[in-house]
Amino acid sequence: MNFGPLLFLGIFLTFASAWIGLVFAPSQQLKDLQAMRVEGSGQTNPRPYSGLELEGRAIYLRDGCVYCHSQQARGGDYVNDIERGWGAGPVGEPRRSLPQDYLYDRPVLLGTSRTGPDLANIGSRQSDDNWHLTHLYDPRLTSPGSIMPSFSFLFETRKIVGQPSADAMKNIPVQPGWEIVPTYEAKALVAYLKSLDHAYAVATPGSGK
Amino acid sequence: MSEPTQPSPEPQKPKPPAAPLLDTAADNASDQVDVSAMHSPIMREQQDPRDGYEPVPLWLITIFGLLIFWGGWYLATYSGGWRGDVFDDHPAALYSGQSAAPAKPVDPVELGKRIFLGNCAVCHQPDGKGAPPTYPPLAGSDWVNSDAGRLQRIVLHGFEGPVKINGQQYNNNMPAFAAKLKDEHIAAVLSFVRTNAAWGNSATAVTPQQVAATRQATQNRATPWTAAELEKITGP
Repeated sequence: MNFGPLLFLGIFLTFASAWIGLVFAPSQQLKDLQAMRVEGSGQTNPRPYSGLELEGRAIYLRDGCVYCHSQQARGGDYVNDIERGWGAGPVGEPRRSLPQDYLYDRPVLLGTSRTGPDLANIGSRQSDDNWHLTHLYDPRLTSPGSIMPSFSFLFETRKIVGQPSADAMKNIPVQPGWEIVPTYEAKALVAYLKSLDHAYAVATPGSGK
Repeated sequence: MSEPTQPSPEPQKPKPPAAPLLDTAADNASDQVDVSAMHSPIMREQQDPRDGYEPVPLWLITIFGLLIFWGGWYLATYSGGWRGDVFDDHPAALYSGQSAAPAKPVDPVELGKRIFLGNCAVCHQPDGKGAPPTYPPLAGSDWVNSDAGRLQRIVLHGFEGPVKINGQQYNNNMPAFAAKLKDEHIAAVLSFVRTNAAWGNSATAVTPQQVAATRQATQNRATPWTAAELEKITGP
């Protein structure tokens, strides 16, 4: 007997039902999702990335941050992302990450591994440029015991000629007469990290009918 | 079988001698061979099974039935009503049509811990020990356990410049939180830090009223505080 058509039908139905349930139906439910207007201002939550932030996002992808850092604060009974302070949402009311938070992400950088902490809301947890730059240069300076590799290649160590640079790193030890200066790529990456800030409430009746 | 029924145009050639099949003696006397004796070993065998038409065993039907039942129960329990907004802030109120239950007042210590983890812990570390010599500790810190007014000012407007904490010298910047944190948030996080016995701190809690008064008194302050300025300040 020839079981080819029957086998094909079974395999096709298996994958088709998975695709309908996991891809098609959610995309239909969420296709009308829009950024929420902030009362009294022209801004929205979330907001589109600026040009510098998008360049930083490309650095984030190029240097493989996504391999060790997820961008999804999870909720529910079996995870403690909220307890660890990784949640999005306004001050004092942390929440899990929601579809709205990813409206301007192409592609969405959810990540699968948590060798390092979740970064879905790092811009809210730490909005200080100097911290981010110091941490990228040598993670051990800001986070004792960190196993993150150094991204010092995003910085330039050069001899001071005349006046020192205005944006030279102040907290990183360096021999006298020299200075460590972040490159444009480092600044773009920090701008992107600071843009990962979802400190707003989401209550959208009818967003997913 | 494949014997041509029509007369062949060419004269039939004599058959070549057949290859020995069973044994040479029987082959030589092929006309007299007993066919039923030849087939008896084959007839002795069972018929080859053919799949596709047997009834499904009862145990398999039972297992399938249990799986389908479990799947239905799982979907009914965990599907979230198939809603895309099931994880939004107040999903229960959204899809039951009822008004949201009044939010429970958050325990101040819990609120303070949340705010600490969400705003302070990246530098001062989740255990409050800081990252010397870059970021000073809050656990067991002489500054944290002294004057509350200084800490309120630091959180409101930030801090910069050299400072000696627990005998060690630090020189760094702390950002201002006046715009991000409300009075009750600052009071909660300062109370969490100052009264945290696990960190070795035993100072008094801070009330939102105290923070509001400090915010009012320092509203014209635009730059971060320095250690020399703060050391002159005493009082809540």
